[in-house]
Amino acid sequence: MSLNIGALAADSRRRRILVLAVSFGLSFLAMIILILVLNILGTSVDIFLVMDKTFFEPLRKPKMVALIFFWTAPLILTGLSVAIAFKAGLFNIGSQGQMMVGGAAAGIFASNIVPKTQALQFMNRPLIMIPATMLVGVLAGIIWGGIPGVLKAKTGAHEVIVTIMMNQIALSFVRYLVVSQTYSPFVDKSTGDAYGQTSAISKSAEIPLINSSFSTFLDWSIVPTILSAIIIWYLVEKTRYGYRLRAVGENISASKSSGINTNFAIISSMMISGGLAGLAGALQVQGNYHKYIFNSEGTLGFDGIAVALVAGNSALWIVISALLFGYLKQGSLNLESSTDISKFLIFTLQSALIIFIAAPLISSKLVSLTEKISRPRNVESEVNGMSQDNGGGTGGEDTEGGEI
Amino acid sequence: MVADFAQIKKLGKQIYGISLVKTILSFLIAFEILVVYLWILSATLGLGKVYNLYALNIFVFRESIDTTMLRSTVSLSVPILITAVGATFNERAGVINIGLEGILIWSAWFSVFISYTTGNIWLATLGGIFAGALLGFFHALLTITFKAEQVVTGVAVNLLALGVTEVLNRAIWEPARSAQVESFSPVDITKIPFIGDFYSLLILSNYYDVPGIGGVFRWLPDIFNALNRHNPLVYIAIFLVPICHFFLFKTKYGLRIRVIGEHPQAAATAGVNVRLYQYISVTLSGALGGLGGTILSIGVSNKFISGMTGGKGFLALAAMIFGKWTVIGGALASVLFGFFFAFGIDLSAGGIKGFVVPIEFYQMIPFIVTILALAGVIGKARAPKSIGIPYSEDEE
Repeated sequence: MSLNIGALAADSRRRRILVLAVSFGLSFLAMIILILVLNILGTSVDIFLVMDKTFFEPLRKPKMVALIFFWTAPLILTGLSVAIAFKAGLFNIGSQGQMMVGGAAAGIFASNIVPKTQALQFMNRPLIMIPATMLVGVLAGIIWGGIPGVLKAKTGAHEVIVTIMMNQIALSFVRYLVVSQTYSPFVDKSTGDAYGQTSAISKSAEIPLINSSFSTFLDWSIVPTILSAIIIWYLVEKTRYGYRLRAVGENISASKSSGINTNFAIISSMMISGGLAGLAGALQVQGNYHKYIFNSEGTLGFDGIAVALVAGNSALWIVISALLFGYLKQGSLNLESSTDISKFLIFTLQSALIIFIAAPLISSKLVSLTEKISRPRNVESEVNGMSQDNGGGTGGEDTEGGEI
Repeated sequence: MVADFAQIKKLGKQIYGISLVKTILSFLIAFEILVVYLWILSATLGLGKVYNLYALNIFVFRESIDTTMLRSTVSLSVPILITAVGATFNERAGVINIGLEGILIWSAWFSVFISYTTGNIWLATLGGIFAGALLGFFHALLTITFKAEQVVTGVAVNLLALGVTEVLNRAIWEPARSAQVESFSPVDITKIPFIGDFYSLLILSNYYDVPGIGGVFRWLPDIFNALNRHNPLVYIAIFLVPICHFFLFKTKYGLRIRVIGEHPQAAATAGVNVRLYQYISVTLSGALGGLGGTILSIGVSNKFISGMTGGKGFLALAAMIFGKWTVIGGALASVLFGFFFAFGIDLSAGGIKGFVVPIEFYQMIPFIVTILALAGVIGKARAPKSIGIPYSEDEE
């Protein structure tokens, strides 16, 4: 199954941006409709207050802007995680579970295994410990993402279903590891709190803050994040491996017959995908919380899907798209803390966005409609130099043809 | 390329059945694997004392035919069961719906809301079913008419349902849980005139004092006693299983749905309105999921709590796959999953003295077995051929 979705399936950059703009507009409209429905149901919600808190508040104070960047870092990684699987034609919904497992593994490694093992004391210095903890998170993610990859390649098990199952297994397994006070050796038992967490990680594994007077959230984990984005961009766009990956994503049977090792492409892309999500989990533990807190990743793994879709799965655009979603996330948190509206309001915007991008026919029909109205056809073909796609065929329908 | 319609028809008939002997045998094997799994976990995690494997077998068997355990199995599995039956419909029609989790939470909320505003539980049930059907129809609209990528819109449906219910819940009731509303109370079948007398004959615990057979009956699961005293929706859901099976596998409409899932172009050639059947199947699946959500909220509880579905929609998806895309198989798989949960709750609360395996290890069993089933380790699960591909007339 090849996945060609909306924004990236659109044929030109101009049209892609148009489709995105229309999708954003429609999603925004969907959100406003929900607020109106709330008003009809009898709760008085000031729509201007909602807009102000969500969209303008995050930009007012520097501390808030720092928080946007704080949310952006894990979103970049989960977005990349979803995107690289998409490149190979796979849909990894498992970023959530992979991130969770990565975070838990990193937290347990740095809080329990290294400090409590005599033989590993030589590791207990920042130069070794910081990368080692990251690596543990990445490895855990690789295992969690690799299993669906191997099963897809060897047995044809649908990766979407397997990753959903892996998410649920991760949820149970991590809950055992860090919540189960009586049974698990890794739970912080000092607090007696029902809220599951490991004890604090070793000081040497912590990633320092960039500037503690500017923000107590923003840390240097943005650096490995941006580095991974660049590496993934290079890997996908510039190397032979990336070319093969994209070929498998475009047409698996053609790639197979032209001698590409499709199994390797599937397994490795899922492993990289899992590794990136695992890294996101580890960086959260090392950078900010300094311990693994159960469910502290919230919905960052699922948000990665929207991040990747909006960016058209291009690694560099993911950075921009993650920034946008980081901004929305902070806005929604502001909204919840100052009004009666749940932060999940932003989910409606996000899901509407996913829908319009996944169903390219809706927005690209609208785009072609407006194009037809706004200018005569022959002028358009001159301007764009793309007379071949004038027949009203939109991105979505073209996708259809290419899918078989 | 038009495939032979008769051939497809034959194929459809071949793949629907699951034989009874095979099912019982696999239940037995599953039981033994469960015991060994628990034994290994208990021994390696070093939480309780190491049990004799034979004694453990007896203990686990005794525990698993316990009537309280079986009763909670029924109440835990029925929401999953009816959702899994619904999922069979849309998958057979060639549409993946991973938005089931969203359908569950959305209809659970909606039925609580209707019950809150009208105070009528039956109206609330209809409202929940309607809400599920509406979301199912929405998914159908996206995937069939707009030909969206089905798994991606499924994710969006989940997010949308979660977002909308959370927003509405917080706006109407302020905290994360709703006010207490009117809900269903259990019915005692034995109290119903005429039918009740017959039903009493089936309850094994009534014979425990009879010499001879009483001793034997203590070693048999008291199924009909466990099935008694549930809320009415549970019986409706159980009653719907054979009806759905009959509809999907014995009628021409069901055959058409199944053929669409295998080869929509062939169905279209034979004059079937492919899109209409897909729409009906996906909406029906939403409606059954809506019933599942209603059972979860006003069926067994009297309020809505955020996150109350807790992955049950995904569990239904797993049950449907584990049941090999059949109604009966999906239902049995749901019962098995419900059993694992009830068992986990029971045993981690100290059902067997000195034997502890954390409840999380029971909770992950359904997902592990589904992955194994998908990977072909347990039997051979095969999805309908055209699943996930939006239908269009001019292909192939």
